[in-house]
Amino acid sequence: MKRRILCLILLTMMPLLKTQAATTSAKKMPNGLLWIHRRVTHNQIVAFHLFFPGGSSLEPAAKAGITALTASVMFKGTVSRSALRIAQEAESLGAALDSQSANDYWEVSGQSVAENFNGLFDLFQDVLLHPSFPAEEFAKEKAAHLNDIRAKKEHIFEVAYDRLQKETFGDHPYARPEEGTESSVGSLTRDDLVDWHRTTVSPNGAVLVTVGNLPAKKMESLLRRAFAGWTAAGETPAAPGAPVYNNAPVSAEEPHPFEQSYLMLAYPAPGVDDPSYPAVKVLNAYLGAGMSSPLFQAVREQGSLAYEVSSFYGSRKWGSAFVIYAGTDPSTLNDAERRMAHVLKNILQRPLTPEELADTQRYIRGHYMMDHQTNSRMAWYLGWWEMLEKKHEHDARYPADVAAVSVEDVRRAARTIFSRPAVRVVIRSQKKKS
Amino acid sequence: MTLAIPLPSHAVAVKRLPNGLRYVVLEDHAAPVVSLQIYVRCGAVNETDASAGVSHFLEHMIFKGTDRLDAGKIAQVVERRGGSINAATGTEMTHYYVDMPSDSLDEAFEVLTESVLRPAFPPEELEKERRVILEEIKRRNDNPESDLWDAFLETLYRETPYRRQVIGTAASIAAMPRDTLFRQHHDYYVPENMVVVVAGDLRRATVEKKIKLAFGAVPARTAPARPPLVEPAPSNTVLKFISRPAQQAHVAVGFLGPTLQDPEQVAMDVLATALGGGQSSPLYQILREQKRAVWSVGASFLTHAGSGVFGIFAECPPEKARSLSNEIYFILDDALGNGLPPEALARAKAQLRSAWLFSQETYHGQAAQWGFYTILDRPQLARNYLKELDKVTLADLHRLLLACFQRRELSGAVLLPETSGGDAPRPAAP
Repeated sequence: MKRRILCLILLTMMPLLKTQAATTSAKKMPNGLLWIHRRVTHNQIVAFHLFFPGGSSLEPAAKAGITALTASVMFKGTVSRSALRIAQEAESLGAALDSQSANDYWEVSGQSVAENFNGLFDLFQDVLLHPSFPAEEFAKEKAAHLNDIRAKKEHIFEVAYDRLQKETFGDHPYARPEEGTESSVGSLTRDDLVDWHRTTVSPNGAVLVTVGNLPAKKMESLLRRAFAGWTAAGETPAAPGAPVYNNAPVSAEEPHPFEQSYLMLAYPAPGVDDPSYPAVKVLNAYLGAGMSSPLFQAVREQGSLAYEVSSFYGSRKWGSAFVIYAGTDPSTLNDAERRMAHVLKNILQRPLTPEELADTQRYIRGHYMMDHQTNSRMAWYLGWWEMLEKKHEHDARYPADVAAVSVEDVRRAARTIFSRPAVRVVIRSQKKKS
Repeated sequence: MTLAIPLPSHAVAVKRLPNGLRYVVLEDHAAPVVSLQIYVRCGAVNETDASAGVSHFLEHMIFKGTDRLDAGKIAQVVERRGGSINAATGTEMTHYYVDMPSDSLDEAFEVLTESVLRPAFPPEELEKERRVILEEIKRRNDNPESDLWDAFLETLYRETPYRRQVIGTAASIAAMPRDTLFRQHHDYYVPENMVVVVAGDLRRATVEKKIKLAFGAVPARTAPARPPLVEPAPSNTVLKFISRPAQQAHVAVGFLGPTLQDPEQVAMDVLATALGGGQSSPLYQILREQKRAVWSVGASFLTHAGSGVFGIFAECPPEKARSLSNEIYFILDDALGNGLPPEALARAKAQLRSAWLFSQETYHGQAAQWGFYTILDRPQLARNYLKELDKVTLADLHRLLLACFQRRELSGAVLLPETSGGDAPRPAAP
């Protein structure tokens, strides 16, 4: 019987494996960098993602946002290239070169057509290893970064989500927005960035993923040349550990000059290492993903109370939150909240049917497969799983983990999560009637 | 520039059924995924003040059932098989799409075509969806860029219906009778006004047969005549000031450009990219890096079947916003007077070429390119965009800038945070 189940899982996996039939190799470089390469031949684009562990969760509270700002100023000058020259070279190659900071990692990524990849990689290694952090550029980027923080307040979702994170995660770094706050970023100096770069841009623990139509040997020689002098930095900042959640319900309201009001609820949820992680993913996809989900049906289709209603469960290392939200007219916010509560009550009282479970598992598998179509996304997933300490091979295993979730697993996950007190955030409309 | 990346080896052809429906099938087996897209030439330009927003309302109602399918069934069929479904309405087209694992194309094809061709407009569902759209309008109103965008189009388009808001107004949606939706569908959802594109892991012959079966029996009918879409040259320029809650100032200015049938279409993309498409462009370098007048700035050419629009969009400190239009004017004037350097042309072409190739990595991207250009009657561009790009010269850019910009003041909109005071007088002309 077990063998039959395994066969069924493998059959379900076949289409995904077809995409990933391309060779994937992994190699630990002498300086500690883990390099993963996947050769694909159906297009002529080469993409890379270089991940560093930690991200904003390693930042001290007073320096929140330093990872994002450091990554941004790195592109604004090296010992041999000015900001303008970096931009000119990247654009001449038709290349994309970017950085992103997240809770558990930060990354520099890029892509170009294969014929321009050598040029892109040369530029990338210079930006990564030899940034000069020119004082004038630092001042400009810091001002722009501060404006970005302020500009988030133009978007009701961002306002609600920032408050929700703060209330859910308390003193944990997950409570802080990745870009930092006006106060923390306002106090950063150029020297802070230089130090942060020296500490965090280390090959030890970093993961570079390359995907494209380049033979592994050619890519390796490129890598060895580019990173010849790159050695491990000193001690990296300590990891934060698991967040401590509230044991009592939290309710917070903020008035803002929006026309809509916004309701967001967060329930403490496990990190990716927890055995229930795939079951919580199924629970989330069932409850709030797509137009046929119970939340969408109850609040939008039957209640006509919102245009935007959904749920999400972020994959995080140390612990996460199951979030449900809707934007609605101030007069119908209570009704929307009642309908959301009713959906949660239902899931606690009535387990998913085997058909509902199978449908949800197919939904996750299909979306996962479709999100692997580009070289850049393939590279991202391989490195992302490494950052979450699940190893890059988990990319191929994840759909099987989801397929193995049972009705009982989902019921248990729902009971665990929704029996805990929620954090409730309301952004209350205070718009003047015109 | 030589074309280093070969286009897909299969021959791509736009085919036409006897009733006028056009379709494109792209067969490729790199990933076990398909994208099914239906384009209808129906959007805000096909509306009146009374029917403002009907095309978008209709798009919502397509998902609300037919005589054979209950409301919500279409999403259920697609999502239960691992796919995603959505739609978007624009000024001159409505676009429905399903992306999903290729083993379930048959079911998705059946429900999407049935829903698009034969919506039932159940009255109870219609009333519910009306309330959802009124919420969508409020949500849109909460975004400062919506106000900026509306004002930008209104100042550039005085005569043609490109100035209309796709979503309509709260008043037009609240009052819209069911018959207006029914009529819009009856008039515009006709074979000659529709394009079907299917791309991905499929058998071309099988899918073509399916298209013929599903759409072949739909009677041929002529859609209403299109409104004039070529905007007459404006007699003056207008800079509109708006005041509303916001954290920063937003500016959108520009000028009219050629129609999609114009051979200069791709050159306009190059012009926009050369002037403001990247961090090495003059708009970015001068306004952000040298003068520190903006937080961000970019330029793009918005393609329409009729007159397109060259737009420059910026976010800036409120105190810089009033003079920004003049600053932009001087940069364009300098590009006209001194010309753009050859390196700027090469960089713009490289950026556009890569962007095009990156967009082709997904079947959704491939289908969307073919659908967009085919529904607007220039499918050749979906095939030849990169070749057209190769041909663009500096002389083309100079000629276009002279013809379109004409050294006139720029029209557009400036949005100021409420406390900075709006409705201010226009700053002195350059």
